[in-house]
Amino acid sequence: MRSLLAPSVYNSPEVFAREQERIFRRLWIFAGPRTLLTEPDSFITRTIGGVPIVIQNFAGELKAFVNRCAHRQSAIQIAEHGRRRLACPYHGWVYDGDGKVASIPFCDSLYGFDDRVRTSRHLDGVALECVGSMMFVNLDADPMPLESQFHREFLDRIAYVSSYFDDEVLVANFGGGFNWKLIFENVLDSNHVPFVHSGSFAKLLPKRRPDPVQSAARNARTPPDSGLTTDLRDMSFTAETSIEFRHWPWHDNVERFSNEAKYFNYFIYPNVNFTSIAGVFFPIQQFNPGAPERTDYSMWVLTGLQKQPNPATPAILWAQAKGEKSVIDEDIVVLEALQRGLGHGASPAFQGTYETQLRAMARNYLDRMS
Amino acid sequence: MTVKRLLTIVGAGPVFAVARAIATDLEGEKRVVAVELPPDRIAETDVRSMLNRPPAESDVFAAIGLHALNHARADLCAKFAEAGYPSVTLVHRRASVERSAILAPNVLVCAGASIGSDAVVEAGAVILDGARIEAGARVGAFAWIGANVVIGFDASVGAHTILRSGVNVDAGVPIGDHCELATPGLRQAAVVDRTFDTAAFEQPVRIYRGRCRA
Repeated sequence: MRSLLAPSVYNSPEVFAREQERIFRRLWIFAGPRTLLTEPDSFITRTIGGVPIVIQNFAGELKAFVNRCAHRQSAIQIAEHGRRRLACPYHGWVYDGDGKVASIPFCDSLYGFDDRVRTSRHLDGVALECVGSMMFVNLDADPMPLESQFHREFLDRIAYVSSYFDDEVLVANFGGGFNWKLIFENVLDSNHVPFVHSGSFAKLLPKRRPDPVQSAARNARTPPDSGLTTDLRDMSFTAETSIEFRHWPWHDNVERFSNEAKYFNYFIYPNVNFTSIAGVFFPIQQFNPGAPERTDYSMWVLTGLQKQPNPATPAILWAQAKGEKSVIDEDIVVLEALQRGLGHGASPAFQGTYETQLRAMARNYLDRMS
Repeated sequence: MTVKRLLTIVGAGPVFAVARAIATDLEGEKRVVAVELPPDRIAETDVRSMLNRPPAESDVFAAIGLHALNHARADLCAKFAEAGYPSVTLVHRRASVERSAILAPNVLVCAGASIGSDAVVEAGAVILDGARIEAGARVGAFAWIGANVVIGFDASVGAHTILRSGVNVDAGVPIGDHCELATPGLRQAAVVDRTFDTAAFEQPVRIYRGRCRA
């Protein structure tokens, strides 16, 4: 069957702009691990749906705002993570936890603002929800309930799993020359693994054997599109598979949500692949639309909660990040070539039974975009 | 009867070969014992039974490469210390070390490297061939200084940090702990702890801590 998505949705600037509005500024979007914001005045900055965001800890309470000063629109927090009060570095305007201007240096002598004018200035608030140790933001003025985007069971699951996050977090940002949907489709497509990752990730997975389920799938017809789910909540789901996992002594220092040698996937629509390797590691990948033909990856790597501080944690996280990146690089090569092929004369993908989830996602995507 | 002390080189890979060669050159073949131990077996190893000789009879040198940001070497050094074996420092004959420089135990200084006056090289650091640690500079414990790297006057390199060949550090510039810098060029600005700048990533990778630690 032909994909529901025309090649142009992967390279059109108009489609890209519409996605930012209809998807990334309307849905709940993952913003980062909460364990980064444990200390008062700690903050992270992100760009979501083209909008700069700051999430800041105010005496234990997390608040999210558009990261633009009410004075000259400067970014108030510039670093991607840090610890300082919410004060604009440009002219020193300071904001409180409600986003109101708390103080302006030389307010009377330079600006001539009285208290009424000063207190009328404020930051634009952004809806923020924490699901366990995962933070989500929603840029819509009237955000949908979180439960309208995710099944309650799914939220409970990621809340439980992420409650095991340690607070030492590796953060990496890099890019790929392809549309963000291609990589999200890619992570949903387990059939690419033995081909694209034959020398890396696939070696850790069990060898593929014919089994009754696969045989049944082979004989089954692709369900008609009328049967595809239109429930947004079905776009986020869990999966797991056995994985070869070598035990190291430092694992005994980690509190794990699971001791099984499994690779756990939590696909968070629209753009996150949250995984756990045997409950020891938590690599999180987010696929941010940077341009029609560019995806800006954000990657976080954490371990499970460490019972005692481990001085080798930076080495552990760095080694894991390099391993993750080498696998991602294999995807990048293939997806950049795929993107180049989506120009003039390209046809929609031709899909089979195992790609039903991709079709469902495409159907849902079109619903949101229409 | 006086027991003649031996020097036991323990480790694996190229650093093991280099350390063994330097030790043999300095001490003579009869005094040097080499014991291979890959990094992934350090944790399970009882060093006393492995060395088969009491601390009174042998000095040791941990010759492990940069495995796990140099933590494997640190772990082996810690095991030696716990078991009471004194660690030595190995300096190649063709390396130059100013008299006022301070070299801690288990430092390896390879051929052609130079350590300037009042420079400090802390325990377990590896200074590869041709590297230059200028006067007053400090190299942190278990750091790894690649071949021909230059650490400028009064600059510093943090503990466990790896500087690959082609990276140079300008005078007075501090490089943090637990970093890996591999992008060639002269570093003229400070690099904070837990920064990783390699060709594998377009932008430097950072590790942040949500909770402050003492």
